Amino acid sequence: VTASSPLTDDQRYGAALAALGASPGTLRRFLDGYGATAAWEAIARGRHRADPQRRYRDKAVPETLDRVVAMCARSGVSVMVLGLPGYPPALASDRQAPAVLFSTGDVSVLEGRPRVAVVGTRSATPYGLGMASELGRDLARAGVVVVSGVALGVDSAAHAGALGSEGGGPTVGVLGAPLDASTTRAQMALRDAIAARGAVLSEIPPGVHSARWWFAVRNRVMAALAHVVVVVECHQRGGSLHTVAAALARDVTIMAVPGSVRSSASAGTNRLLVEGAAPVRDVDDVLTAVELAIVARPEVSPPQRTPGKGRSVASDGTGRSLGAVPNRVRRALDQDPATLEVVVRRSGLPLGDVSLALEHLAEAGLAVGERGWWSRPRR
Amino acid sequence: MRRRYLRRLSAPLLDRFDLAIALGRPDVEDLLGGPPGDSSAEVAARVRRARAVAHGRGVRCNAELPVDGIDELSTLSADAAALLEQRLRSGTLSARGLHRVRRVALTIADLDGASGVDERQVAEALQLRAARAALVSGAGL
Repeated sequence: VTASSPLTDDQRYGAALAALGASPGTLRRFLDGYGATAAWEAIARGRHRADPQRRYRDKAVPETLDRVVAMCARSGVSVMVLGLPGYPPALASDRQAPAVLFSTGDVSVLEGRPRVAVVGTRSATPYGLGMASELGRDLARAGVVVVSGVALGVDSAAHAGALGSEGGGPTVGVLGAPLDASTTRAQMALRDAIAARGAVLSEIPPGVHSARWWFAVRNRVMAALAHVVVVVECHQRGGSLHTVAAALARDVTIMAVPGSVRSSASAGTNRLLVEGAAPVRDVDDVLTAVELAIVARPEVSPPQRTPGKGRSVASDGTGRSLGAVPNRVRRALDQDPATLEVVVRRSGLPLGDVSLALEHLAEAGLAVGERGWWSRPRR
Repeated sequence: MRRRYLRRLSAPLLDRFDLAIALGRPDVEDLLGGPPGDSSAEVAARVRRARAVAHGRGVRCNAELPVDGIDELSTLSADAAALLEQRLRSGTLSARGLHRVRRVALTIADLDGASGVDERQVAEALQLRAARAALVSGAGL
């Protein structure tokens, strides 16, 4: 979905529904079972079951629709509606996914790659800024998409580190304000740089005045997108703790960069460490957690599979062009996951041969390995 | 609250485990009359041989090999290197994981009495690492 393509009816009405000013939960109920266009009409007629008091009827007028559509066009903002094509699959499965999402840039960068949220305080120390920038850079080099807010401090340093690295980016910025909200020149430039290589997201329509609570609400989007959340520096009651809470609710791994116990900017992160969050010394610690998060959530396919040796056993799906050993191992698999030990026993082959065959079969999509258990892929 | 963190805390701790194997409940037939494995004496002899090879490298066991010594001491076949490269690029193996897999693969080669590390030994070492994820999530399968 490029910014220049005209909006569909569902996208226009979706944007207009978001402009009614309802909470994220109410907005979801507006769309649920109706679809954007029908939902708009039902609210305008005072007949939507999610608006029994008709609180939104007076706002559901053509002017609201026209204004938000014009604002999207002026700022080059794309509209995505939950359940419709174009909405990022990475976010769609979250139970609190925004019903309507606005973006600039290319949201497809979210797919097929590990995603790490790097978050922290606006008032970061030079240490925190340095760590954020370094982690951003090294994660980008490892092929990880950095997700963050676009605030000053840790957020900006993480984006800048990732975007500035050799072969770096893309990154994804999640705003707690409309995409056209004015800010400092430096922040505008950063938003543009993020959108040029990745995407900037917001669930608030352009032209709407943002409220403080949106910043807390948008943190759930970062947590939902991330395989791992890294808190770089955070005060005792810092806003990053909202992201941590949202990540906890989603079983997303939480990590924190240790800081001096005399630094108030590290009070929040050090407390997370005391409570059991995993410490981050360098990118390797994060990549280890990413690796585990992806293995533990097999619906996330590991990204950027480069063609390797496995291609030599790639097949037409019938197994005919497989070598004798991989074929025998493949026949030893079935729909019920089995341990490596069982696969070895069923195939009657040595452990080394079975291990190698499973590597190749997995790469060719003919075997599924999940935490040491092996099965045939489901069709 | 603390317990909820604890369930997902230990990625770096877990990174210290090189070997993890998923085990199912053994079949009754296996318990009563499966094919016999190697005897303990045979296994012990194999381990003693492998340890002797490690001693020749100046360490008690391969886990103690320094990172910068691995390249020199364990020559990877081209296939083995390609397999590791693919796992690194796909993000399913970390840099630290790489060194650990290489040490385990070298140990497997030592147990096999091989002089270099080939693709199968690397694949086996990767398999022995795969089940670590079950430790971290703690969820059934």
